[in-house]
Amino acid sequence: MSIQTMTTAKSFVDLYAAEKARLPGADLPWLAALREQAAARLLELGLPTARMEQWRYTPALANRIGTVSFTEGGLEAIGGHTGLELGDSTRISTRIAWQDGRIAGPAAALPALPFLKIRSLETLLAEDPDLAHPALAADAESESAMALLNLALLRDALFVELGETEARPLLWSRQEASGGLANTRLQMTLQTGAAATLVEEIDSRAGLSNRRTTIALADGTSLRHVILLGEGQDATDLGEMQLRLGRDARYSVFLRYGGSGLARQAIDIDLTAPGAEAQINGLYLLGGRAHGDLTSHIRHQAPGTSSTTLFKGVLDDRARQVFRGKITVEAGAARSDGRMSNKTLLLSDKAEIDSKPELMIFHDEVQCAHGATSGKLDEQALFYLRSRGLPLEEARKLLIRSFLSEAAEGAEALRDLPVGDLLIDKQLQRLGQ
Amino acid sequence: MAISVETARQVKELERYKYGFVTDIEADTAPKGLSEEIVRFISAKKGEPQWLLNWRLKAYEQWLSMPEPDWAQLSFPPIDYQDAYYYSAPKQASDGPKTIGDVDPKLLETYEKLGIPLHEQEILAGVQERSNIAVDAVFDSVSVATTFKHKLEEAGVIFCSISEAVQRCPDLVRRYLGSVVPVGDNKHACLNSAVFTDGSFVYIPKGVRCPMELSTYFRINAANTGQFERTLIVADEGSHVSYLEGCTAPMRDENQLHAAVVELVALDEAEIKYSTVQNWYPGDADGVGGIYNFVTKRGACRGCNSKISWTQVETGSAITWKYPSCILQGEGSVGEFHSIAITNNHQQADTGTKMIHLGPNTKSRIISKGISAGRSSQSYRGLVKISPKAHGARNHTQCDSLLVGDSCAAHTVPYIESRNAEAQVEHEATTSRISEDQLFYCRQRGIPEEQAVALVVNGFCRDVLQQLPMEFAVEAQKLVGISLEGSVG
Amino acid sequence: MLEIENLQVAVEGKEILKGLSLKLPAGEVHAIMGPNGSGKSTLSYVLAGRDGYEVTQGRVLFKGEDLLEMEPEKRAAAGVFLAFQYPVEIPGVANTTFLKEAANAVRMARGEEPHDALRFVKLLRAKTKELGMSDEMLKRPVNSGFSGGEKKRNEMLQMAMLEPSLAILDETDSGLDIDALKTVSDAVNAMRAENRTFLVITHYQRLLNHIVPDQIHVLAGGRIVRSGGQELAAELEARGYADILSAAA
Repeated sequence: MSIQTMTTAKSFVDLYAAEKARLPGADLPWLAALREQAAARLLELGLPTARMEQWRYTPALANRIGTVSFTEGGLEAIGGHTGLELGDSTRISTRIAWQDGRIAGPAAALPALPFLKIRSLETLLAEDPDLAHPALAADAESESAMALLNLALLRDALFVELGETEARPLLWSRQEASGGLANTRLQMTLQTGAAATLVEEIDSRAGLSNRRTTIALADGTSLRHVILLGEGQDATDLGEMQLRLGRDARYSVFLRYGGSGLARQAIDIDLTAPGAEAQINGLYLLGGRAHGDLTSHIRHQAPGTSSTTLFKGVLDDRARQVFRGKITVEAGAARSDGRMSNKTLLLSDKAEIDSKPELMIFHDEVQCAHGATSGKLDEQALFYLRSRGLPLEEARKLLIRSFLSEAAEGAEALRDLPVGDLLIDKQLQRLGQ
Repeated sequence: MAISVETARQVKELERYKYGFVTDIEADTAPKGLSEEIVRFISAKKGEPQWLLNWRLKAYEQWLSMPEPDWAQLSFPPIDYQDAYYYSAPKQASDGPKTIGDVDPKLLETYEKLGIPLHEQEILAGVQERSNIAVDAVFDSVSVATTFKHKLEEAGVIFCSISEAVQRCPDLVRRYLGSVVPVGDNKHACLNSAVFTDGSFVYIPKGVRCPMELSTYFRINAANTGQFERTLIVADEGSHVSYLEGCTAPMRDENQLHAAVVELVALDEAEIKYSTVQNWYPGDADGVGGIYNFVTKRGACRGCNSKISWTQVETGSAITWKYPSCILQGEGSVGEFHSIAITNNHQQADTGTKMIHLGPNTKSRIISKGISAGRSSQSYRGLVKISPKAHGARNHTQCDSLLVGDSCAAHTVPYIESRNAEAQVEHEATTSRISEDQLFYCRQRGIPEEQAVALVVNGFCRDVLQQLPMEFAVEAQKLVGISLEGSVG
Repeated sequence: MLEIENLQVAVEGKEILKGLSLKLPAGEVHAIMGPNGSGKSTLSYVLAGRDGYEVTQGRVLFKGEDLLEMEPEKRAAAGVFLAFQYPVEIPGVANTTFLKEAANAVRMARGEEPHDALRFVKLLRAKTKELGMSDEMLKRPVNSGFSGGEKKRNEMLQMAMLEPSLAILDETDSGLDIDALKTVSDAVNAMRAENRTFLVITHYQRLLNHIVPDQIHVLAGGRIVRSGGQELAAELEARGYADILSAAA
């Protein structure tokens, strides 16, 4: 185990130099070269700072990371318990548990079904390195410091291939980290006719988790995705996700920000063919000094594509939430429809919302709109409820809940997991509301 | 009057941009290029006091090391600051104070042609259409005439060129110059601070309602010349002023730089209404030539219940980079931004506003209407910031973009930062193309297509057009139609 | 006035009108009735010159000239007026401004002097009153926030101001209560003249109790399947379209 203070890109690159011989695939020249390239570029680029537009409202990383260890990690299977139950227990479901950046349990235990192939990094490198190569090579060229860091020190990854099936398999991935650097990678492809639900829970107690996700949705596929961010206390959780949607593919994601550390999720969605549809719904309920960040970019690249984003939340104490939502309609993407809305209730004068809903339109035949509001609880509604006999606290809770429920109720991603209310209640309790 | 008609293309362009002529007048011009000597030259020409020269030199020094702002959605080759003239004045106008009678008839003729009357007698006699507007006419680097000075003086209003104000009321100028837009605010404002040559100064004393509309008309005439005017308006307690600004330039193949700074200060209960119709030469249909309009405009609502309202109709310039803003310090102060921006052909505009809410119960309203046509590109960029002390602050933003044709682009880039639970912020934005249904409906009623576009766009802009003083509103409405010519069919 | 010969029209590749022929002499009122989807609205849009309607065959002569060659505004100037089934809202443009622009554009295209402002307002006020509309509606933006009935009255006001020689009323009766229906009918009847032709398109017979047509045509499957007098409307009302269509098939 090596413990170092991570404040600069250099400290991570030094860590890489010390560990590289022990990383998976160290004996594969192409992978070693890509890692080397990534480390060099990371050094050049530096860690993200608030001066970069993409990180404008999220404080310089170096200050938040503090001490990070790159531990050996436990290979014991962990029984993470979420308190959330599956809506339909008869479906094919798979749980994947991560501990400190590694898939817990022996790799062979990952199920292999005719239409579903799940492999770890080491298995994939042994069986099918060509599948890993393109995405890793792309990361080595990335402008994102976090992607470069991820590649340089990547210890494990999950590769999911899903073929056509009547069933809608449910994949449940739970990541725990005890204070180290947890670089994880999830690469998922849905082949034509496939449909799936993916639930990701991130529960780091401390340290830095740096998650990288790439998802390719072929024509006519559907993915429902639930991301429960940052249950942990002082952890820094950074996720970057890239998606490509083919013709008539549907992607919906529901995000919940609820921890007390820093959680940032970046989502890049390319709607590459007609009929592709994306929906982002999200909630944030933050207190203490928690910091949440959703940075999304939806590119309408083909005619007849549509997207909606609805992001709502409540901020108390000194909590801060960032929403940077961008919709681009590229030239030729006729009849695109893009909508985006961000609404916030501020419960404290020390809380802060920074919202940047952005439209970049390069085609005239479009319908795009965005809205953003922030304010406090509606005094009149509060008074009305109290005049009907509800105690103040109850009335507040009721209003907050109804404000938030819009984002959960309309979420396609929660269709199999009607847990919106549960998530809201749990968090309200935690915030003492 | 020599009109530069070099090619048939330009002749055709002339029909569209009717202000594209050049006045042939002898000019007093500083050597080309930018240096400390030029800064000293300008200051000496104006007979400025030492403090102002020092202020300019400090700005120049800072400018040298400042980076160009690069965050706007604009693309243009790097500016060669050494390839421009920084001072050009019509010969006779540069020699001290003047009355209308002394102004070169050629200049009077120029302004007449632009529709800006400088003959007070005629205006008073009702010969001219526009009445009750006092005009400060700025030609290239200097103010050539200011009308109705005496009538304004009776009311205690000071309205003169800023060069004159430096001599007449140096204390006022010194107290407020650079107090809203600091020297190092951005590279363009910094350049202006170093080399500004003229502009208008307005002081409205306590409790005075300015008896007439004030107006400055900016005209770039000389070739290869940048215009760097500086406007400072101070509205003392309980006063009220409405100020109009218009601009045109000849058609030239090279790009000319216009880097102005406008500072507004409103004290307790004071109100400033600032309206602009910007019609600088936009370049030709192929994107050759046109003005680079890099302007820093900012108002400080320092007093309680003060109000600053910006209204702009931006139709000209090859590139517009402009964000008229309000700093809402005084309790209950109000900031407004009403904007119409139209880009056609190859024009680019990146414009918007900042509303900085510092004081309690401050209010701001933003209405932005952007129309992109041809191959043009336009961005609304705005910031609404609610500071922790701005209890009860409110903002409402409505930001609509209209696209005419399939080769243009429209972007909306708002930043909303709220740090107060008692504040209420609302932002709405839409982007859509001009409605085929509306155009067809108009045409079915016999209205030709181009006229139909102008009609629908005018309707789209109505909320902003209503904010303009009557004289400007009519002109602006026509301008909307003219600016969109050739955008359909 | 209007001669339609073997008109075939496709929308997005789908054939809607399949050889429609019709003759409308000057001074007459003809009604076209037909079930939903029979091509009634397509016919009105093609005659007015809307984009997206591809004429694959046939021709339309208006006062002896090829109507299909003309731009929409030229057709309006030549005297074609379409009362829209769904009048379009134009936010920010005052009704008066719109009417004035339209009336003057049409007058100028016809080689007449534009209205002087005073005369125009007088004329407009008079027509507005006849239609039972308030002056306040003139100040409001075109059709914005108008009720269904107000929109249809506004269409009639425009028709009155533009004095067309061929007025096509596309389901002008839809969504009207009985009072509004009467107002609209009165407006049409008042404008009936020797040199003016009306083409009234409707789904229901009730409008034809108020505007009595010279001829009624039944449109189905993109063709005129029957023509007749007022008795045809009564027959439709009593027996529905199905009978007539099966008889025609």
